[in-house]
Amino acid sequence: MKYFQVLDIDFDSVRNNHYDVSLFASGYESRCIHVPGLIAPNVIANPFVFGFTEEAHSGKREQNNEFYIEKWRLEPIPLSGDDERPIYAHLQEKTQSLTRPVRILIDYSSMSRLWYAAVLNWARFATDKEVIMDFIYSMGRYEEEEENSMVIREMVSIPGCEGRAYRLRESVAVFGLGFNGLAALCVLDRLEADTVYAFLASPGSSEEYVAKTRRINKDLINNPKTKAVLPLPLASIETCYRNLAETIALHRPDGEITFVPMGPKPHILASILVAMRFPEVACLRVSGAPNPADVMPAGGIVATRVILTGES
Amino acid sequence: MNNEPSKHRRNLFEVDNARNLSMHELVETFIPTQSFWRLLSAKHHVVLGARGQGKTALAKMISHDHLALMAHTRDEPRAKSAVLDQQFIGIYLPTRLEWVGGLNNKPWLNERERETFFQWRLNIASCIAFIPIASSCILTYIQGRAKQAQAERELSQQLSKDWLLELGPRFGDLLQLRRHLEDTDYRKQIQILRQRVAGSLPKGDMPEGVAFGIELFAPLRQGIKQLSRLLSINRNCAWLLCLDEAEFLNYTDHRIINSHMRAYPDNLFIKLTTMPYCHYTLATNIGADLVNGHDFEYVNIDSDRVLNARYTGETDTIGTRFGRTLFNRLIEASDPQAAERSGREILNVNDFLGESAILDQHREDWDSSSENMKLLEKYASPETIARAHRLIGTGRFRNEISRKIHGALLLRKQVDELKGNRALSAYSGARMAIRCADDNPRLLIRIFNALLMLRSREQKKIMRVRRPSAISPEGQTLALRTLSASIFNQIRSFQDVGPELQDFIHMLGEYMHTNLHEKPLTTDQVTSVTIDDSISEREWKLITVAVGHGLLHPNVGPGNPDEMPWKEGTFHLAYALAPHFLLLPRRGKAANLSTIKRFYVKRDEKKILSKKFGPEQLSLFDEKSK
Repeated sequence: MKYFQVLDIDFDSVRNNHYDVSLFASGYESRCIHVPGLIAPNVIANPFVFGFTEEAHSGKREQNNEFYIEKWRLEPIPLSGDDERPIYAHLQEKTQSLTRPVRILIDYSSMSRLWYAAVLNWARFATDKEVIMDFIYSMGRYEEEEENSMVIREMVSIPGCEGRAYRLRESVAVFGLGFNGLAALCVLDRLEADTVYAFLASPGSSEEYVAKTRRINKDLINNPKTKAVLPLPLASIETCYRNLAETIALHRPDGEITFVPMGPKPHILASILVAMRFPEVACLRVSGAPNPADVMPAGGIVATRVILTGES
Repeated sequence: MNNEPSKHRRNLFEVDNARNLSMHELVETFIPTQSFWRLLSAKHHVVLGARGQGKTALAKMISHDHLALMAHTRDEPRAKSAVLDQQFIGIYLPTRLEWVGGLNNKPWLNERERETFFQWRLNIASCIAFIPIASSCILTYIQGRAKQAQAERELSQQLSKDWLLELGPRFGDLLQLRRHLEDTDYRKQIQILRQRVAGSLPKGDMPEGVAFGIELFAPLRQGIKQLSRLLSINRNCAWLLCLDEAEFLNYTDHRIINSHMRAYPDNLFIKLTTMPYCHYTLATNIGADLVNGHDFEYVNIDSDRVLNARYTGETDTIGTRFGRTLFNRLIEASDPQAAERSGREILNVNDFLGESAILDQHREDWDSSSENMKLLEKYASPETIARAHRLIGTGRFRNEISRKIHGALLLRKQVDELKGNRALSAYSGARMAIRCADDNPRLLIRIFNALLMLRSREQKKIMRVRRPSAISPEGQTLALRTLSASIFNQIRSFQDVGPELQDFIHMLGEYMHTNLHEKPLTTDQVTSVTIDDSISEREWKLITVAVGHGLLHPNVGPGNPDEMPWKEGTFHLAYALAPHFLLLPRRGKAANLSTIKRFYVKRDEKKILSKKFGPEQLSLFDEKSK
């Protein structure tokens, strides 16, 4: 049995720490290189950069690649956002000789959720060592229209977050709200849950985004099935994790609970952690066609430590 | 059997999906349709129905626990004989998004592995679904609590032996067994992921649920055999496995289920529910395709006579009656004491919403100086005006002119005069609300609920209504238009085709709007589109998705009500979209798709020219929706 511990940490402690492995991403967003730019390469024994094979020449991708080559002496390893297998192999190779807890740094600011879920799954299933994972997120500034019109391509469970798809009691959907109001409604329509909860980043990266999220999702928020809308801080995954776990406690263990995080990545991470903690909870990945809009770093950084102990 | 409904009642107008109704609520509010009785038969069926059309309600009602409750609490002789004579025993198995989400999230499995996993999962899911039905059968066919408990223990132990193999635990009750199977499914997921992550299973780990890795439905058959033996179930009993929401499965999954329908002539019959055009293949794994009418039959519930009235041509009776009955059932089930408290009959939908000025037939004044005649002369085409003058005073005038054009004239006048603070009132009245639901139970409930919520905002108690219409026609119109716009807006995020489909529907709606509001009126308004086999694959895809979501409805004939048209035919725009496009929700004539496309291109060219050389035009509907 593995035990999760989720803690907020400050970014300074990350900069002063040493890691066995780090995972970075190179994509089209400017913020891909914000966190790697603040960390000294010599604190990481085995850094890896994965470069998205999708939209490989869009936005700031080439500048990002150059940054990794210059500062980190790393050539991004091409990897699809829908694939995660090489991550297991790299983690295994670089940690198998260690006889102490493994320390991993993951900058998931511009990462596919499959990739950072893969790190968690590796820690759950592939090793009996204690694994300390520091997840870092650089808050972003979006220069976009009022609402993203995402065309849904796929709705599947995140691996390791399938939940129990047979219910004895009611079905519960927990939506993380973002800037895709219509897509969230479309998923709600498909899930046909009895009870709905929603949560949004508040305080978020800016007050303007909180109001925008509420505006864009007003139909879901005003849906008669929506029992509560929880404002959860973007900067504290520890708080989100605890609050989300408490929210669903009422419906466990017999309810069929599905998280649909469509908001910022720290909330996605919190949802994945809750789903990995409780077997009856699923976490869906709703993906759309790529929308290569640039996201600039807004300055704020969210740092979270997840410690997994126990036998796999 | 515990047939006592819960004392706690909730507002069932807020529950627009049969999936979320308790057994008592569903049984209480269910209206048996022709399709329902058709499904109670020893045949494989593929049930086609747009979203919200009631597929889940049908599938759940066929399951033994629901049917037994219906037989016990309602006067339905066919349900009674099905249960008491052990003619049919139904099992409900949903293949929902959450279930399929755990099936399709393993892209690394090759086709063979994916098929094996699907088969394994369907096997264990069908056994999990069988357990509550086994309980229901024990409660129905064995008298006395002690004997029932003994039967349950015997069955649980026998099924533990069969399904968990010799080394597994032996459970003394069915709930424990069910929980164990659910855990097995979860552990199987983890096991597959662990193999992916670590490359292999830890030493000593056995594959989970070995008993379910055999041919499709073999473990379920074994369960049926044990239960039949224990309860001495009628040998001729047909077991009906209702696989609900099969649109979420894929081509390969359908092929595997088809193979079962093709190959097994025993007493287990599949009732597969899916959206139109979402029975993805007739292929099987045994080299011979399924033959419609021979191996199975389609049941198109969108053309159910009880739900709608397309065959009779009388659009005002049957469909409306279904809506009125549903409204009454929901009121009764939500608040059974309401009638007693109010000392009057339960509120009906007419009391609640009043008459429709546009759709209800009235005695109209058509004198030469009447308001109606003035409107006709203002908006109708010269031919129509001439014909009206010719026929006035004859019996044919009502049938050929006034009945057909009166609603369109009133709607056009209202929209024409919409200025400043004036509000539309055209989309009001019971008949209008029901018509705009397109005979779709879920939409009907959503409309009723939107109107009830509006009414509660107006702070009037439902049972104290004294005036003919509880909600103002303007309020009703606003509510229907809001709902209609939300249906239209949501199209944009549909899987794969969202923006394209929304543009396509917008093109149809705008064409119909222009015909109704900008061109001289005739007695037939354009409300449908005709396609032929020259249609592109992409446009055909859009039409099939639109039909699946109830945005377009194919005109099916009485001779072949279950057959969906393929790349040709006439499709009418959902009446649910009529308030958004300001159309008359009434069956009219069809325009060819190529004509509509030409109109749209021309209109776009005009807009571009206007932008370039003149003042920017306001969009068609913004000014009207004030």
